[in-house]
Amino acid sequence: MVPPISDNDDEIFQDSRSIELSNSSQYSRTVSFKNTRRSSSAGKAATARLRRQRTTSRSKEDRVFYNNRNPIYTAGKQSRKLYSRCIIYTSLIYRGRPPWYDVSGETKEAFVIGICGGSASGKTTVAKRIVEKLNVPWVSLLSMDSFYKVLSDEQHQQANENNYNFDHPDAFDFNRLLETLKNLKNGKQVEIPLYNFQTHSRENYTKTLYGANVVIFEGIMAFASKEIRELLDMKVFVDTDADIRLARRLERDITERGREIDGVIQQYTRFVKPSYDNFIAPTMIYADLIVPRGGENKIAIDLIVNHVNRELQKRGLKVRSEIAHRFEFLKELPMPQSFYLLEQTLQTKYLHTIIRNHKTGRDEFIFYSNRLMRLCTEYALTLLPFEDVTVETQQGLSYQGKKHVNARVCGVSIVRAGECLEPALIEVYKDVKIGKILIQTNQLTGEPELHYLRLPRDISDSYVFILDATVATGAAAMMAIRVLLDHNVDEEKIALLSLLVSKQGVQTIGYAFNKVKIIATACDEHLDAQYFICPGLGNFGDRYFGTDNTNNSKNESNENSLRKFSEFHPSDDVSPPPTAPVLEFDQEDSRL
Amino acid sequence: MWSSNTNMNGGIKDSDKLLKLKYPTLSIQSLSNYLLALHTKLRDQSTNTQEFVKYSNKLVHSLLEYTLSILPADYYDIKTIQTPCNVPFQGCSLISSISYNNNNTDNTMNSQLNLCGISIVRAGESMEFGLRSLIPDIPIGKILIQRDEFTQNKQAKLFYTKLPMNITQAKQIFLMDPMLATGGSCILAIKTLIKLGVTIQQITFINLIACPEGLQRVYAKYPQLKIVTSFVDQGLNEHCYILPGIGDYGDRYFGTVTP
Repeated sequence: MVPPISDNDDEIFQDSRSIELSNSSQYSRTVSFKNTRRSSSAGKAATARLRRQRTTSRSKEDRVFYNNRNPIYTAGKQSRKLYSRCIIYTSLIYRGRPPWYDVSGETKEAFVIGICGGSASGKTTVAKRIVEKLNVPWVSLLSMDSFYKVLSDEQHQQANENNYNFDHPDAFDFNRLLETLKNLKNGKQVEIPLYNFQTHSRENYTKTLYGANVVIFEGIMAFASKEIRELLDMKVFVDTDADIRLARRLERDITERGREIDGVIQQYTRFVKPSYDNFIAPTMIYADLIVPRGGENKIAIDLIVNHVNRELQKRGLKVRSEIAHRFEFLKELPMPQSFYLLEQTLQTKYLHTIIRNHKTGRDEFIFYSNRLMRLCTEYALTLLPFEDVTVETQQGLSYQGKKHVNARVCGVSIVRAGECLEPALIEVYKDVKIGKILIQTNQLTGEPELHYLRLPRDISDSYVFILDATVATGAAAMMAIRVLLDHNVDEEKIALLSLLVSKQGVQTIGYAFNKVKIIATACDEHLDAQYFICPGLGNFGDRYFGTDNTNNSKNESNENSLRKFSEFHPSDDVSPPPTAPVLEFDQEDSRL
Repeated sequence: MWSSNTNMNGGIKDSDKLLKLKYPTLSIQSLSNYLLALHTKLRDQSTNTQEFVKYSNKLVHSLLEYTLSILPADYYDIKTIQTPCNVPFQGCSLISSISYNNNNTDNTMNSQLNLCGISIVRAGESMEFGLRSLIPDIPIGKILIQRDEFTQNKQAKLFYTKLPMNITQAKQIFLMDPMLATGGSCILAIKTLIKLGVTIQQITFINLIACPEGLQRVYAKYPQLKIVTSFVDQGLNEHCYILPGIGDYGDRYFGTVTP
């Protein structure tokens, strides 16, 4: 069986509403083990399943549920079918990730909600309800279950004999947990260990969780450590009566996991109950909010959601308008030193004249913009590191030359216009890897939002060229740079490649990320009121891909809607959202 | 870390500066590390034909772009256009390679040749593709000149010419040959053109690798000839090969080298 997660690199940002529409029984607790990860040795696993002695409250199904970077709520009956495919939901109300950094490019911390409670108290249900109600697409869920310590052989044996206490603070790797949570709060990409409950060790692969605006952290010992408590912006304790918790546990372990009633009760009395009394219940005093009855408590959930929404609004980041405001101060400053403008000759002017002319047809536009891109990428390559090399010529003489230092080079194009630069980059650097980022403008706020990204795995030690045809306000480019930084790319190794930039865009990016190189073939002075570059070249993507119907559809009925789009997404570097509400990709496809 | 040599004009050798002083109409492309790396690949004897073609095409492309960028201002017409944002943009346009004048009196079309390329067969043909990828409609003529390997100083011999019509009126003729060794074929090609009525001011010789001996010989005969080159090597050996050179360019580009 194909492991459901490991090969899926796509980071999918989705809106829970769409899931409600598409999968009504998603939260059902009917759990089947067959569809969970069991990539190796199915036969061994079958026996291991029988003597599985996990004592925590979480079903294995839930782990799978968390295994996707951004949770996809597919736990339940339909899950087996769903795991074989990677489904990208985009809701009817199309939303991507709004900016999570300010105008100077600094990230804002994520809002972290900690949920604590006894085993089977309904922490997960509360977390799910919060996500559902929040309706914020960028939520990461972190479970303490991933941070169980690796057991020694002796302890492993104990665990198999039902003698190991999983409900004790010592069973958790708090150091790693703290580090992970800190990084997650800072918007960094983190690697989450995957705990294997059969071998009681960590899998040798990890799952990657990407930074989010809201992080929900849940676990029985969530409030046990002072350092971790300090990271939590909001602490929720789910307080469910002990008899209900025992009843749930019995039901779950017996009907779903096929265990004997004696064993379950013995375990409960030996470990689970004392642990609750000794370590979990006392941490209730740290909670900001105590939720009785768990997930059914609608009022409590509403309160939490309202509070989180208020907090998010308070730190709501209006990057685009801020950028314009900030430019008032910046425009007096000289162009940043990290800005590299191609030598301005009559020839580049001539090429620009052709692509800027609104009368230029598509074939000429493509031909001459390709020429410019070639010049641009060749210029950019001269900035890569070189080393001296001596080769032998056919005359048997040595020739002192240069060669590229063996450095990984990666292009990241901002869909869609940035993709036009990919062929030019591939042509001049043959083994370049290409990543993609889709950033679109929210039609209501005018803010850029991140919708999709797929980057090469080893991007953190590559030289990265961000490709975008034009940079107007720089909002999209800033988001792309921020994404790369969050993926641990060295700021000094990032360069932004563009055909046409505005002075404002260069200054905004150049002074926010002063090590990021900006390479362009031309620089225009102004932006007009709709953030178009002036004189500019229009919407590059539309002209290159021929999707501007201006020449042949003057009398068509969709003219109005087109105009509406251009009002909202004035800039060329951010394009209007697609209308298709649901995109589906086979996992096979996404792996290509 | 990123290369510190970010200046495109940083790569001029001292010997090139002297040559430029000596021959005012000589233009040597300043080599960035990137172009130098391409040169290194070409010169490496272990580079196979496939790679050789690829790297040579890239170098030629960049050399031709350089040639166009140093054309004097009267090759560009000042032109104001409207951008899609309805803002005027002061730009310029390269003169088209052929301009058509509609003659109203007798209703015939007169065409005026402005730019054309001429390649010296066979190695010069490797640069045609590059020229076409910059100016798709440029007329290209051919001159077949071979070094006569049996004469003592490898004298060049003219076999065949096929040139665009009205070549004498052309504003600029790009004569292409990747190697300038003894200069024999270059001189013969120019001699042929001049015999047809072309003046020396109309000719630009575009060349990938030159050597001081060749330059001296050509300039001694045609001091006003414009030469654009990518690299000036050390000199010639007794077999009239450029050193360190790259071997026989045609053989390596067309894969006809016998192992």
